[in-house]
Amino acid sequence: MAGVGPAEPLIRLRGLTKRWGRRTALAGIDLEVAARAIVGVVGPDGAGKTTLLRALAGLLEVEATEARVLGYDLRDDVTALKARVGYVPQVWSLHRNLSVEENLRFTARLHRLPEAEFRRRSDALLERTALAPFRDRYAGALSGGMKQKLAVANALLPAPELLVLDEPTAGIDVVARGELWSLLAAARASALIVISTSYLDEAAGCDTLVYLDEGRLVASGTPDALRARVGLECYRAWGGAARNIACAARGLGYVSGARAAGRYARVDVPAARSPGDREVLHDLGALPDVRFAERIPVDMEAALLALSAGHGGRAA
Amino acid sequence: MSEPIIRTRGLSKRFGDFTAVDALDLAVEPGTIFAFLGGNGSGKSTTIRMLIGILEPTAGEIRVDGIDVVHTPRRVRDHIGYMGQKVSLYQGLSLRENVEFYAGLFGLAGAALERRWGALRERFDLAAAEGRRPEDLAAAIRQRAGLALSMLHEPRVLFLDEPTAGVDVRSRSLFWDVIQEEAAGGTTVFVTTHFVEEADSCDWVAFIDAGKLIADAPPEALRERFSDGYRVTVRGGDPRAAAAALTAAGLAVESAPDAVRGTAPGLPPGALAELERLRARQPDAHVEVQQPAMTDVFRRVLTDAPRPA
Amino acid sequence: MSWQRLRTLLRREARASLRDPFTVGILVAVPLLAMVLFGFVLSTEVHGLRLAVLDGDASPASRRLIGDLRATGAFTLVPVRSRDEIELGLVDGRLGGAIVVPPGFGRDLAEGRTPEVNAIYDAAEAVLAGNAEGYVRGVVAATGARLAVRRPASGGGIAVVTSVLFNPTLAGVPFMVSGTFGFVLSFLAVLITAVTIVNERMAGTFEQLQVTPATTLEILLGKLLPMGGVFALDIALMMLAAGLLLGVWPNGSAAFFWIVSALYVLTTLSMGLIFSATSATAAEAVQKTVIFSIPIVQLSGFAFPIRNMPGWLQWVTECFPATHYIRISRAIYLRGEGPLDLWPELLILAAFGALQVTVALRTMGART
Repeated sequence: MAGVGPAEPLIRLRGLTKRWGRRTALAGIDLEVAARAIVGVVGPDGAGKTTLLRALAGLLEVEATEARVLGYDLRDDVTALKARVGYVPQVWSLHRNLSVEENLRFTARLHRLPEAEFRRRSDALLERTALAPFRDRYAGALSGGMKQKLAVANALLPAPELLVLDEPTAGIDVVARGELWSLLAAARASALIVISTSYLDEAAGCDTLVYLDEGRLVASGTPDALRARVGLECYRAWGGAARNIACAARGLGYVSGARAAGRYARVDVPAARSPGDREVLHDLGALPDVRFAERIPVDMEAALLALSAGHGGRAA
Repeated sequence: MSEPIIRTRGLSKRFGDFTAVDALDLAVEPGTIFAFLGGNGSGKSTTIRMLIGILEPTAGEIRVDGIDVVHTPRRVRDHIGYMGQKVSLYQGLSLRENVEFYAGLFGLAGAALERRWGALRERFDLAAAEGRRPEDLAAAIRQRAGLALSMLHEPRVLFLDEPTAGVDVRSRSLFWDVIQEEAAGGTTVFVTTHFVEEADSCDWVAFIDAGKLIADAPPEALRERFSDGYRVTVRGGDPRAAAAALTAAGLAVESAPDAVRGTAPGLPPGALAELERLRARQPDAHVEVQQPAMTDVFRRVLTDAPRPA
Repeated sequence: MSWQRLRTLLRREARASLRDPFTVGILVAVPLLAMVLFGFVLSTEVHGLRLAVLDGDASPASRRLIGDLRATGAFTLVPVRSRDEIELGLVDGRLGGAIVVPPGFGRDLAEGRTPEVNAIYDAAEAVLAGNAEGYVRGVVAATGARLAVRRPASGGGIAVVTSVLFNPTLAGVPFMVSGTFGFVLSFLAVLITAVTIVNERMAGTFEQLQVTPATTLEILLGKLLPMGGVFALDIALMMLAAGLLLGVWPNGSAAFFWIVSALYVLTTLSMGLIFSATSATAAEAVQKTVIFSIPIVQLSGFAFPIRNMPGWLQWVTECFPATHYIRISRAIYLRGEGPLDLWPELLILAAFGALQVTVALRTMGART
């Protein structure tokens, strides 16, 4: 019950289920995370991402065959777990009318952090988030990106062992997103990070990915493993009329999907159906409007597309 | 040279002391897809609400399809379709009843409605969802329904506010297919998103930050200006032939032990043909084109522009 | 204005509302409940007040007095034999009041003197006590005697409360019934409407409506008419409930009352629309409604007579449409007045109505 033993995984879920009345938000999730990492949770809205995150943070009553987070059973008293978890919810929930520093001090007091320790940690965090010049500004007056950085700093203040973030980068501009991610990368040294995101480049940057859909865990693994797993060959067919190229490419029997993206059309070919990349390149090159065709490594978008299609075959 | 179908001059909106939108000048050509990018609080939503006539600007003019939106907002309604961030389907009514409702407001009913809706239903694969209520439908289906509804009355201009937020990758991809079809058919599409890579699927990109435009150009132009440029890598085959091809393609070439690399700010015209010729002559060579990602492009756009506190 | 668009709007509103059993339930059940509650339970009538009687005279005159008291039907008489019993009974709540007839009562009456009958009240039963006093006073005065009232303990404050709550006409149920229409239509109607548009705005459907060719007038009517229809039905049901359950029928024309009420409710619904159009959240809309409506209900003559208010406040109450409506409803129900008698009030109400609808149009159509 108290804390993680030496060989125990940080998260161990077997058959984790959450129901709200007749609606099943999570339908039997199996997940194991052995060591500190950045675990990305991806999937469409309504897939159960927020529910899973809240369950991990000890905020929900759940049913499971097994549900241990940081060694604590989610179905028992989770008070001790919560003291070790930093949670950043989807809706920004700090105090608008308190300053940056006051918000942090509030959290410090909740966790009974001694003043000296609080100062040390908050100074370090404010430095790392570049919020130090704004320590006396009301949190409500910060820009979106800065609010999120404050939220993360706030969650990191009590030095949690598990950091749970629900789409912290939603709607934030590119630069701020990057800054937030470097913050997380640094935090990985001392905490397990579970983060949900809808940005594919962020998903690619995680150590492990968990793909949820309709309450089920469709796939999990490192980005590389997932990309390899989908058994896909990805190609780019460059040319002026990308839409026409995509359309024509779909006409090739072995192509599973093609879409225009600017100056080229992306073409996906399942490895099982592929006649070999040389032939594919030849066929693509022969299509009207195509000036040049190349094969590219499988990217996150193609991998997730293939996963979502494979799962249940739902034409979403 | 056609007249822009959407044009704003000096468009501004102030809420008390706060300037949400600051003297925006936009021009959108008919039949194009115009991406309007920006983060939360950038003024993106405020702008689109002014463009569709439900928010009165503090200053400036807006013309959409020849109509003065600032002074005669009601007149523009028949010309535009709108899909807001929040789904505009009434709960408690089936999708079909929602369709009948909105169609009725546009004077579309009976056989004409049946024809129009039948086509959209087919195209968007909504037949199974027709009899169900929005609250029972998956986000992706609601998104398709929202788009279909906005297109019911065949407007010339579509305003879509973050239509791809919250839906899965597949739906996003299919969605852009539909948008591109519409544009190909002559509809102008004004779309906001904060997935910057979606800019590649558009004809023109404008980026708004703290109420001001900090980029307003086709995606390729932005790429040329705000990135380290394209990089073509050739591995294997004859390095000299590769170097020659790359030079002929207009790239700056550098040779390395494992590969030959060529760079250029943008892809010069004819470069692709050169690469194709190289491939034909050197079947063992592996040619790879690296295009700067829009995410990186915009990161640079933002860091180059003065950032607000 | 397009009839086709209006029909489309009405159809949707009707469909959506009727399919929601909760809303329908609230809209119909609450007004009926209010009618029954106010009419029955809260009516400031006197029924079965436990009145102790200490007959120190035991003469035919005193027995006649006690008999008259019993005949009012308002009291349950409890004979006692000492003041101690009265004190004990008041203290432990078994008695609501007491009458003490002094020795020599009958003889004093016969000899033309005015004897003094003592009444003692439970201070806590202020409202009831006040009305009971009326009965007792009446009965005692009829015998030629005088009533002296003694209120134990906290005198001053209670007296003030008593007089404010005192129902001067002693009409009880009809008074409350005719006022309840005003309460329901001025407060409940506004509250329910206030929440609907805000919820639509938060759901995104209102914004979508704004981008269709539907005009503000059409949207307004699309909301008002269905709601108005439901409340018109409520009015009819309340009139029936008051009549069948409480025995109160309008003395004037029921049809006239119904028409006036139905038109009045359309204007109060506009207030609800104004509140929701100017609020960002349902909570804000409810707050505005409550802050606005509660004082109006207190001051419109529904429960507290305007006559008893300070002069300056009486002028203020004239500014509320509810005041005029309640005046009209009481006039129709209690005094049987008709359009010819009430036309000045009706005109004022109509003017208020036009104002409210105009403001609603402005706020709903505002592009902010």
